[in-house]
Amino acid sequence: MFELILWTLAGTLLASLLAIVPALHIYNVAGFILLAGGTLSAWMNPEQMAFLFLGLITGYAMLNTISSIFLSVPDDSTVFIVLPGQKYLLQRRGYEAVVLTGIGGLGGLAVLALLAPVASRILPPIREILRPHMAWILWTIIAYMLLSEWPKGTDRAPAGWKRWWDGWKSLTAGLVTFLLSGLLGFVMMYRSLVPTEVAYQNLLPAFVGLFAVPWVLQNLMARTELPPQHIARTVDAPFSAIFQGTAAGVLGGMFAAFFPVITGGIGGFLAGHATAQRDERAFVISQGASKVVYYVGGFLLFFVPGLHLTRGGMAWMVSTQYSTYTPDRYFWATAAVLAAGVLAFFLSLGLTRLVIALTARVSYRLISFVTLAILLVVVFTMTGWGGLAVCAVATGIGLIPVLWGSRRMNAMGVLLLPIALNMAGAGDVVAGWLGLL
Amino acid sequence: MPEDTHTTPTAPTGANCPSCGRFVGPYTTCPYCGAKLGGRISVRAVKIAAILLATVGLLALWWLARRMDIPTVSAADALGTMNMAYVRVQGRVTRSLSYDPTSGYLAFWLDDGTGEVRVSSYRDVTQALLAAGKVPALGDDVTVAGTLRIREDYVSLTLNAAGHLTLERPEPVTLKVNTLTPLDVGLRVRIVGEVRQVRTPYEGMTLITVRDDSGEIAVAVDETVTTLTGALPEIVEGQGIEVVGAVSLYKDTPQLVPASVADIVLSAAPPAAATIPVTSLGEAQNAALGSWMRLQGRVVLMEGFKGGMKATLDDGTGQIMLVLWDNVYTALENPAAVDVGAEVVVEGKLGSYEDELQIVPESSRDITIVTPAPEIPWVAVGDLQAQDVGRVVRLRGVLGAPEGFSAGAKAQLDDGTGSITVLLWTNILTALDPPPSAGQTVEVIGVIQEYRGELEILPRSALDWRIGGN
Repeated sequence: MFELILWTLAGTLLASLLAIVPALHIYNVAGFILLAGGTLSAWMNPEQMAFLFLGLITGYAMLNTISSIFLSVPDDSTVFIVLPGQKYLLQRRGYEAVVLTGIGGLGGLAVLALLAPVASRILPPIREILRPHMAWILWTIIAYMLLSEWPKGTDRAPAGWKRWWDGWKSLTAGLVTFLLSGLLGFVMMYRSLVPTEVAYQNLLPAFVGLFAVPWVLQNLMARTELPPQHIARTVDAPFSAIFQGTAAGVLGGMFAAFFPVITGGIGGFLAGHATAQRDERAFVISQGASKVVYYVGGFLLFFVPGLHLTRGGMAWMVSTQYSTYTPDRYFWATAAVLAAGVLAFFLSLGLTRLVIALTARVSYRLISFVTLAILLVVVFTMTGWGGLAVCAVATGIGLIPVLWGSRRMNAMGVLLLPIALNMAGAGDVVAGWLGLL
Repeated sequence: MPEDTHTTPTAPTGANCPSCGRFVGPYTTCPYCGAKLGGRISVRAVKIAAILLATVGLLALWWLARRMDIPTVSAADALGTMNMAYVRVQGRVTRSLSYDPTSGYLAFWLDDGTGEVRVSSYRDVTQALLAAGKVPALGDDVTVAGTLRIREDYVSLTLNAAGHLTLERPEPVTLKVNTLTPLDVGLRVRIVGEVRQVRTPYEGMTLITVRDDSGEIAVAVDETVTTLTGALPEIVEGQGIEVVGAVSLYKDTPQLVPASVADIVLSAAPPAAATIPVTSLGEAQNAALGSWMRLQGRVVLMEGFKGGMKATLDDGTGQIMLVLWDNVYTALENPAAVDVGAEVVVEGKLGSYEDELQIVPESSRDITIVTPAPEIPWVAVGDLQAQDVGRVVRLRGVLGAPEGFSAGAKAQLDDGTGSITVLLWTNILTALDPPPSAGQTVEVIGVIQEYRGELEILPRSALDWRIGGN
């Protein structure tokens, strides 16, 4: 059993090192490992691979903040950390922002560990209760997401259409983003250009295009200048902020982990609104807790005996090779995650210093170019020309909220719209209208 | 607490004006000195590019996607890296469906020759399938497209649109029951015969035993079929039945699974095609044991045994033992009509017991009494003599006190002309209600036997015993 813990820690180390490579999502790394499964089978069995992936996801969830804050390359679950992260960066407190999210992440792991003894008893009935209500809950979330965005006009435009457009352009951009990304989602779901042989990475080009590439392009356009960073020995976070942030993050993360289609970003967004956080420190902590609970907790659900729940890309990949039904494996997985989380937290401190040193010595523009190149290489290697084409279109959609100032989360329409319509029983009707059946 | 004040140097940047050196951010013209800043990307151009990519690009993707065929994959070729692919599989339904009416979840297994794929649909798609009459059944050839899910130990496919399922139900082949073998699994056949038995081994499963002139087979109707296609009609043993269904196996034994309750057609009587011709008793001697036969003969001997009655049939070409188990014998409309001298037609399974050929009917409906046995003659006890041994007679008298012994009980019967011992074996004794007691006036039919120089009468079944005969 301790061997499995070692596999988890190895995964954490690997994920920690890879986390400073901008734009490299851990699902891509796991995907490459899965592709090499035949070769690696001599080295590790499916269970060892599952625990290695557990380490990978824990390490990634704890450390992906670094690239999100310092390099502005978020995925869909860290999209909310970028703006407050950049604010910290401009205040020379990027290191502190990483530590705050790390604290949130540790808090999230602690809650996951506390839930372990009761998870197998409370989660299956909750799932059964929620199962018939998934469709309307999802539509409520979509409605809230779209309706909770307010006009951002300056009130200085001339009266008439121009004034209307001044106020409504961001809202229009949000709606357009949601609809276009939703249409892209339909195409990806029914007639994807990604080769069937690598369909498990079907959404990779869309997500890279919707979330990562627009940030990088924005960085290139804006010629961002990073001020010197301060390595603080203390963190400006009272216990109340830690508690409030962790609680909110865990709430959002658990919701996202348990509920299909909802990602950590949306979970964090809902939790933030639900708990009405005004304290920016608590918000940053909550984002750390939310993404850890979303990524790690979602994968841990795969180990909960009697639940039979596969949530998140990592669990889907592992489910093709491995399944587990016994409580002892779940407890070991929880223990492994705790060990991995603590290791990742301490690694994040050193790696943040490394990234600070790197960004001080290398042009941020160059880093952005390299990041863009890595993104495109990963997409092309994984999904070929078809994936690259999808990525290009997704980039266009992902740039709309960047350029017109709406929420980037609206790009989650790529998943939300087709799946919510499917749950409502109208997915095939819309797909039929689009001629995709 | 002291803080480490280590800082990193300012990153090189292109955000300053190359002419005056002031910070200009994203401006294309320096607001301080008016210098044109080369190498900058116009935000307007980026906006136009973004809109074009998002709209024209999406239209192009959509156009391409509409022209792409959904790839067909086999179960054997489905790899872990194909998880979530939208693919098509083709094959034959090889196992019974499962359906949960509460959640609308429908699932079935498809075999494409290289392996099996579990296909499932959820509420709305299932309802659309039901509305379109496209619910597959065992033996159907199905083509289905959906989202592939690769599990550790099986491959599954989720049907997202009812239009992505097409099914072809092969025309059934009319066959005799005894021609079906395990190699016919999945074949759709039509069987015509008689309902022999209807039973429910467990809740949700009805087994109808159907017999034709070659043998019998179970028709399995599970609750999925009845939920999806309607309730079973009342089925009575002895009815004629025509069933269309696919062959499946239950512990290596072929059985039929209908696609719909409508595939079961009942009639009042078995069709002529299912009627078995009468075989002479002489020919029956050479028939295979276990075969189902229809025989006719006269009862020349009738004896009781533990568990029933056995009659010796004779048709002039040979003899055979007719075994009537208690449940069959007592279910006869008039059991007394089957006795020495009766002419009967009987259907049953040919067997052998201690090298003696016997036919064993399954139910009272397998016995047709052509000529009832003549009434057993009344005899006065005083008239019985040694030459009456083996004769079946009817006596009436007053019973003495019964005396038990290891295998039953004995009692004297006195009719005023004499007295005779009545021997009741345990199986008969325990079946008598009320039990025999001294002073009862009884009417007894039985075989006369001699034991240690004394005559005694042995009733063959509880039906040979009647209290209060007059």
